[in-house]
Amino acid sequence: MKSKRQRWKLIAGFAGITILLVWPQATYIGKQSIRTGIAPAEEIGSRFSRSFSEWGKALRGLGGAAEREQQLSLELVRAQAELNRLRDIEKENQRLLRALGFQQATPYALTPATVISRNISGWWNTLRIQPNSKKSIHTDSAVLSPDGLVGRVLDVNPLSAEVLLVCDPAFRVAARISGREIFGVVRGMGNSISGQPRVRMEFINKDSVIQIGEEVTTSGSTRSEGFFPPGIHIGYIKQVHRDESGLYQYAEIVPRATGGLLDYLFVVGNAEETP
Amino acid sequence: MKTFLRITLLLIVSVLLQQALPGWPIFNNLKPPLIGALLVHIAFRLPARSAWQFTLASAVIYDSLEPGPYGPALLAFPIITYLTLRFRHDLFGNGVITQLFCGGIAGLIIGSVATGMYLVTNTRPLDSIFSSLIGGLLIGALLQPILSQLLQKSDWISQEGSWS
Repeated sequence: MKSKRQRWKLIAGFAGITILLVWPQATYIGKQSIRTGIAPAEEIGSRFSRSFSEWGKALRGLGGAAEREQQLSLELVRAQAELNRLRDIEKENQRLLRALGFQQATPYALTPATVISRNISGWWNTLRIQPNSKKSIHTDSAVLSPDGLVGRVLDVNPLSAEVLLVCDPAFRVAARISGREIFGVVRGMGNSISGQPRVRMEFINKDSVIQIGEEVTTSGSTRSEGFFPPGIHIGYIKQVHRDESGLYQYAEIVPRATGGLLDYLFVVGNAEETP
Repeated sequence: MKTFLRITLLLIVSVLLQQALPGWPIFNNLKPPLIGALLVHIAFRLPARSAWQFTLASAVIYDSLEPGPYGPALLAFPIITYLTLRFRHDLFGNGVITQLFCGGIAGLIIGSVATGMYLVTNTRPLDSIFSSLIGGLLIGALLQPILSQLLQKSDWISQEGSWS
C-alpha cells in the first residue's frame, strides 16, 4: 500500500517536471511565482549589503545618504541623456524637422530601481531589479545608469524585473557613432578572462572611417511595449576590424556602464505614464 | 520541524549567496555551486524521502531564477541525489576526500546538464564548453569540503533529521 502511494507520488512528481519543462505557460507561471516569492528575501539581502557598504563608507569618511546619491544619479542620467540627444539631433533639427514635418521627439520618463540580485549560475549576464516607484516597467525597455546603457528589461514580475546586460550574447541594440551617420548593431560578447565585459558593434559600412575612442550611442528604436531612446551612451571604440566576408566592419567597444549589486539603475518608460 | 526550518533557511541563504557571489571569469563566469553542494551534503545525511523533497524544491527555485527554460537544475539535481543516495553507504561522507570527490562530480553534472540543455535549445553560445566543465568540476570540488565541514562543525543538519 505504502509502495503504491510512493509510486503515485513519483509519477506525480515526474508529471509536474514534464509540464514545467514542456508547457511554456507553466514555465511562466512557475517562474513568476518563485521570483515574486523570493523578491522580499532578495530585497532584505540587498538592503543588508547596502547598509554594510554605507557603513564602510561612513567609516572611511565618505558616508552619504543613499537617497541623495540616487537623486543625483537620476539627475545625471537625465542630463547626460539629454545632452547626447541634443548634440545629435539639434544640429540637424533646424534643417530637417521643418522639411519632414517631424514632431518633436517624445521626452522619456525614468523609473529608479534598486539592484537586488544577480544571475544564479553565471551562464547568463543578468540582474534582478526592484523598481522604487509604482510606475509600470515594460519588457524591452532600456535600463540606464549614470554611466550609460546597462541593458534591457527581459522579464517583468510583480515585485521585480530581470535585466539582460549589454555584455550578454543575447543582447542586441541598434547603435550609431555619436554625431556621425555611421550605424551598426551592438551586441554582447560575454566577459573576458579578466572579467571585463566585451561588447561589439557589427554591420558597420565597410567604407566608413572610424577613429579609436569615438563614442557609440543608441540610434533609437522602439521595441514592442518598451522604449529605447536614441543618444544613450554605450561605450567607446577600442578596435576596428574588417568582417571575414569583407562586406562589413565590426568594432570592439569598451562599455562604460556596468550594473553592480550596489548600483541604482533607471528604467526608461513612456512620458505619458509619468504620474 | 526544527530541521525543516533549518534546511529551509539554509536553502534561502544559499540561493541569496549564490546570486550575490561573483562569477569566475576564467571558468566561463561560473559561480560557486552552493545549492549543489548543499544538496550533496543533505543527500548524504537525510532519509531518501527528505532528500528527494529538497532536491525538487531546490531545483525548481534554481531554475525559476534563471532566464532560460526550466531544465538545467531539474535534470541535474535528481541525478546528483540519485547517485549520492545510491552510494552513500559505501562512502565515508564525513571525509574531506569524499566531499572533494562528490563536490567535483556534482559540479561536473550541473555543468554538463546545463551545457547539454543550452546546446539543444540553442539559447547560449557554447564557445568554451571545456572551461565550463572543468570549472564546474574544480569549483564544486573546492566548495564541497568547505561547506560540508562548516555544516558538520555547526551540527545544523543531523543524520536523524528529516525535511518534512
